[in-house]
Amino acid sequence: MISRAPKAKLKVAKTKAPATSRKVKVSKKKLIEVKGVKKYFETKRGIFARESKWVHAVDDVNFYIRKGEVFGLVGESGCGKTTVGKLILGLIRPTAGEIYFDGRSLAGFDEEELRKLRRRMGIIYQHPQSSLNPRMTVHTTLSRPIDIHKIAEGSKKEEIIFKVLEEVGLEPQHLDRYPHEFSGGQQQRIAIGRVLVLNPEFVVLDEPTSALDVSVQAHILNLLSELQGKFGFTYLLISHDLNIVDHMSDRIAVMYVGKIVELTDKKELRENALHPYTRSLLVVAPIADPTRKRKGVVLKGEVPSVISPPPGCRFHPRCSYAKPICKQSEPELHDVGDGHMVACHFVKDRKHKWPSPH
Amino acid sequence: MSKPLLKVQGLKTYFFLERGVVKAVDGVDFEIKKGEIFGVVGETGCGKSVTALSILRLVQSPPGKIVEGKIIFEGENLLKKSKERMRKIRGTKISMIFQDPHTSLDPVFTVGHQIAEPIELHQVIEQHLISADEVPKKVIEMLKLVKIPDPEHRVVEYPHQFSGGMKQRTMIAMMLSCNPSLLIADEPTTAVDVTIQAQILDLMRELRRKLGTSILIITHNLGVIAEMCDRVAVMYAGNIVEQADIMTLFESPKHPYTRALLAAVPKVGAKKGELESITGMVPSLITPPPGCKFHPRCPHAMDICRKKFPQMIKIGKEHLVSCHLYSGGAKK
Repeated sequence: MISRAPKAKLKVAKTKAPATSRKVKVSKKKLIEVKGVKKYFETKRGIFARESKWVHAVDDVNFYIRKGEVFGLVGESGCGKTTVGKLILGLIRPTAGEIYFDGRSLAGFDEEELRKLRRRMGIIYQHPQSSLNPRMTVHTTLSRPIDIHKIAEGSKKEEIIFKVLEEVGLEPQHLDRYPHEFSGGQQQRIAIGRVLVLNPEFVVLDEPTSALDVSVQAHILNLLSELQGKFGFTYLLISHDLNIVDHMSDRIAVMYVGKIVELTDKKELRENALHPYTRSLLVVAPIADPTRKRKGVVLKGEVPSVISPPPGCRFHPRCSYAKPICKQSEPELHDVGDGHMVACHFVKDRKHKWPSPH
Repeated sequence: MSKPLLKVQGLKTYFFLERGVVKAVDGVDFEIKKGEIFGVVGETGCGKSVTALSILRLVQSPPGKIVEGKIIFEGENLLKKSKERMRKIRGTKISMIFQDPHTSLDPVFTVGHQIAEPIELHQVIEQHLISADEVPKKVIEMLKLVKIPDPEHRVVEYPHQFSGGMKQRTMIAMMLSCNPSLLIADEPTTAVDVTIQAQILDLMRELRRKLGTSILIITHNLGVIAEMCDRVAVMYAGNIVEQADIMTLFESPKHPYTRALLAAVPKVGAKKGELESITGMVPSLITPPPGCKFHPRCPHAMDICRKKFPQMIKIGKEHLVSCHLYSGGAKK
């Protein structure tokens, strides 16, 4: 590819305090609460298929996100992680269950009220190329949310735009340019700026760096951490990359075919993963270290269909520890100690030890 | 694992566009030994895919053209071969799998038909190695080799009935059907999930062990490189900047770009902190900066870096680096 990006070089402001000493206080207050949420999509009925089938995208999911927290949601394609993000933003309505934002159920809001509520929320998508309007200049892109939510006018509005521009590492001369004039990393900065102008409390990051090169990915992840530290955002980070989720999050939930199979804080997940699926994800996540030898089994088979998921535990066809009970009954997500939640019939205790794989 | 199977020398592949000449590959040297897994890693637009396409002479022309260099494969220069001869080499001696298995299989033919085609063409018609009746058996054998479950039944299915992982396995089966001595894999696992990625990588490693095929892996993923390769070359803006065996490269990277690249990757279990990032952007390949192409972004840039292109120098047994920091005088 030929670099068509503008000549202006981006200087990334080094954060004064490294993210290690992040000072966002994670309060006890639950900003987001997801209770028994299900979302089924109807498949298209064709000429021959009389009965419609249902895609069980999200199937009975429970979790909460505290104010000021970075909550990671990790899973493979089709596990329902993006659907969870959309449900929380009220972009789609759940088939069953309740979602609470700041103590109020989203079900009670009509479209107009939801729109108002979304002033306090934002989303950053995977592909800035398709999430930015190609016909809008950076200035228009950044001022639209301000206009829609009637936050400011005139010079006050310009002030907000200039401030945000600086925060995301762009320069005033970029304002009159169109998205195609920017590189992928810069486009993602614009997308972040568009969220920032509303100064929201909660931001969904849906694979924010999957379309970017590693060196650019590092820029964007640093920027996101820095902004979180500065403005005390609460993040829901959705990614398929365990390395990124581990780098950014406080607590992590692992999803598999529409269900959360394990949920705990990051350190515990890394050191004491208990669900066989999580354990194999940790095994297969490619790590840039040739001295590391893979310990454990590589999963056999493939992710099952979400239209007719296997009965019982959805992971049983690929699980090397599966017993008859796994086919018959579905394991509940339960606390095994210190808030470590696992959905597996055999894990009763945080100190559970799996026999070493054959 | 000693004799070089492939030797690329001074390869330059340019694209002649209206707005200028894009120097996608600008003087690349490396060799791949028999039975070796060699990795080329780099970011978007560094020329890694064009290097692979150049080896097979699949660069679209015009606008692309291999303007200089030699590609010596099994002792012969591929750039001197006729088109007809080259067509025979592709598929039988060197084959390639691409990133996206969804677009590299033809949706209107069955999987079995597509695997049979290269076998019929090369092994039945050209080389008379096997008779036409044996082809179906060979196809099923290939599917078994890449571990497609129930191959006797799946052979008559169409690509859309296969999952992404199975499609990539099918591609590998197709490419291995004529026993090539070199397999080029261009981002072989970028389009599949991590659990499937692990399966595909395991499969490739196993095939190397069983069949002794040399593999050239092209990827942006340093994790895949660390897991698979024996030796690796790091590319930046059309040049190889560093080349070493895998342990040396990850343990004592020398080129500032390699070091920055390794520091930019988040790792499970690493201490949380700021990721190191490289300032600035990948330069234009039409008007690259003079001297070392990395100098505008390099924290160690010196005067000489702006003027003179750093030659590749040997600093270890298998360790080559193209950086003025290591060419005598200045030491770091």
